[in-house]
Amino acid sequence: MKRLMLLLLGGMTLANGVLTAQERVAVGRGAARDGTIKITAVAGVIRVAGWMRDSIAVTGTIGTGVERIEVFADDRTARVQAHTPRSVVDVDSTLEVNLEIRVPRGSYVGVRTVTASVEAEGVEGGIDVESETGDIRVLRGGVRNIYAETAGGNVDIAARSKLIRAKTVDGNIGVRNALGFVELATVSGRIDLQGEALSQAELSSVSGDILFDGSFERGAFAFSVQTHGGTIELRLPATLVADFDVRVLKGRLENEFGPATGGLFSTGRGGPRLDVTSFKGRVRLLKRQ
Amino acid sequence: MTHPDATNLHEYADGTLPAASVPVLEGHLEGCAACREEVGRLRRYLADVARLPRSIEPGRDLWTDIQSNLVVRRKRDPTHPWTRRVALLAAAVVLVVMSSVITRMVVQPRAPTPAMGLDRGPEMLVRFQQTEREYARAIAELEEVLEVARSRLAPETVVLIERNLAVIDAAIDEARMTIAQDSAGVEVLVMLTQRYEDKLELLRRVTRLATQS
Repeated sequence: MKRLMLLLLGGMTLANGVLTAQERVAVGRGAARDGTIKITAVAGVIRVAGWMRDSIAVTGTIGTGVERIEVFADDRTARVQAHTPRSVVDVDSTLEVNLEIRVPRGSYVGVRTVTASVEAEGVEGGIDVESETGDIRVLRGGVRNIYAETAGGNVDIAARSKLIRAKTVDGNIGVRNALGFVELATVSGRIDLQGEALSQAELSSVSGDILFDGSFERGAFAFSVQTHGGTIELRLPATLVADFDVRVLKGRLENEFGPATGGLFSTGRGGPRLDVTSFKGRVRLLKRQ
Repeated sequence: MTHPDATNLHEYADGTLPAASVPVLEGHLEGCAACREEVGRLRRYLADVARLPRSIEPGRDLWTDIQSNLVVRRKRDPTHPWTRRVALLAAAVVLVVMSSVITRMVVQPRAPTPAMGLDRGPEMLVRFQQTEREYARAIAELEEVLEVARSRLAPETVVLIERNLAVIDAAIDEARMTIAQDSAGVEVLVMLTQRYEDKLELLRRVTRLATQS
């Protein structure tokens, strides 16, 4: 623990002089190696990183509008909270925090923000982030499940997870290295999904474009893509065996796997079912080169 | 061909089938489109169920308490981001609609329509009009809740929500117009249903955001 505190103090020293209008914080506390950690902050940047220790360490700076950083932990749960005055109505720069929060690698981490962006890495137990307009990024590593929801921010997920759910209103959603179950939804943002071992996926938008480039694991079941007015572009293995159900009411269909009119068709038995539905958006089903 | 029993399919769909039984069942699924479809249907259903609110507290009327609290607490209270009271009401509203709509539209197998433009029976249209009324009622109730809570959202958030509600409304109008022109089949009803779901979902989310922030 002494070494930890020295490291934290070292980090504080390095930051000195750069963030003069903000207060530096460095707090550490023991925590369960696979417990639940809830983090709340209004604005700024939150970086969550998993590490091999059974403790939480919070370092960084807080704006003058933030009263304090509270770190609480019991046997199974912990809480990191940036307290702000109750009378605050508008989010401004004084409420910003810039925090790096180290958590036990096996933790399940939930983060709630208003405008703060969240970046997570190396948290294996699970990540659940909800923000009003902040961006959400989940970087390298494997995570049991990822849930990301932001109204106005973007979502970018590069970590591997067998269960990913992400929703935005008009923010873009990008998921790379997808496998297992993926559910992505937006109203007017863009969805860009890449993965080579999907078992099931549901992608939907109202006006946003939906792009997929990838393939399915053996035994995959269902792949559903639907939009009202966005473009759907699916780049699929040229030899894909699947049952297609493609319905495009008023949009244009470009289909390299079956009839130009869409409908029900198959490229062989035993593959997944692909449902593609569009009211007026263009649909492109393309063979990967 | 002997099909797996329903219990095994359910367990497989939700990932609880014993590992030793999985290869046998998957072997069957490879050659059985009906069971594959059934598992796919179950998974879609499970996914829809997963989207339902995680908890509600039935059995007492929360609205009066919620409304009075919201009026008093119009200002942001960022120290209580997991406030749930309005979310519970929104959840209850959504649950009412979902319980009927899921039963009608999702749990039932997808209509085996080979193409757009199939005939719609009067019974289906009447049933759908009833569904539309349920959606309209649920949407109106959520909009009422949101109207009270919207002052707790950042102005830019309100703008983006209104902009995207307009996007959904335009999509709803287009689908309804297509139905009115009698040039569409059951698939347009499904698409229209999805747009109503989108609107409900957005209202529910923004209401939750308003109570969290």
